[in-house]
Amino acid sequence: MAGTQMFCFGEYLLYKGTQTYHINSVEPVEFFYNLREDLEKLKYAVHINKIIRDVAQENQNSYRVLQLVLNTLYTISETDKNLDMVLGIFKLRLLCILGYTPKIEECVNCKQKENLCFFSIKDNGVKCQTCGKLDTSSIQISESAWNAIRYTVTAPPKKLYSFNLKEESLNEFELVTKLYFNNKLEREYKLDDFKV
Amino acid sequence: MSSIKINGIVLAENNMGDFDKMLTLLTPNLRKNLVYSQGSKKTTECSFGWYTNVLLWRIFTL
Repeated sequence: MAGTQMFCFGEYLLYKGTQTYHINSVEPVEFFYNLREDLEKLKYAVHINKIIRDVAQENQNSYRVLQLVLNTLYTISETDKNLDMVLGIFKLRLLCILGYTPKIEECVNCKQKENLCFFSIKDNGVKCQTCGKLDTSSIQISESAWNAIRYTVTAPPKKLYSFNLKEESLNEFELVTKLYFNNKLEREYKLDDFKV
Repeated sequence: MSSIKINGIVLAENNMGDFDKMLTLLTPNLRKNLVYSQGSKKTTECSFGWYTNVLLWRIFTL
């Protein structure tokens, strides 16, 4: 059945068995077919899948996670956006849903609202120039990278992927999201690691 | 026998025996359930057999 293949989103009619649910029928809604035609896209989709399988737990409300996954897969499948950026946004947004939202409006140390040019992994937020230099775990970020982080944290779910970044700030954004994600989930996720 | 209608995306599929599959679904409420799908590996020629299978299930449980 096509409805039981990987990355298929559909409406499932289930009935409860002794240990598992049994599928009675499936009505597929979206297949994300383009993922199957492009190996590069598939690589990112599988990476996202791996993260979700670690993060999601049984019998808890995961509406926002599902919404994020569907939006991300749709963006990867249907648009030609930079895949590294999509992955970065996905990781940061997922952390926000899981309860690790970084503090981005003011310096976490001295509450100053200007000159925010460091992102501290240890203290979960941005820092001003003076506090950032004292913190060894902080990464220097440009203003556009800071804006991207702020947008990712605050944007409505449907408009999450509607911005672009220049290469330099994209590299900073990727680095921050990657380190922050690995630090918070206490595991190193590598894109080229295909072991499930 | 109550059945649930739910939206979800397939995260993983594992083959069970010759004709069955164990799926892992991400759904809004029942997060990440293991779902057992009977006969989902059968080809279209055999799909009639799968339908009778489900029908029998219904008769037994009703």
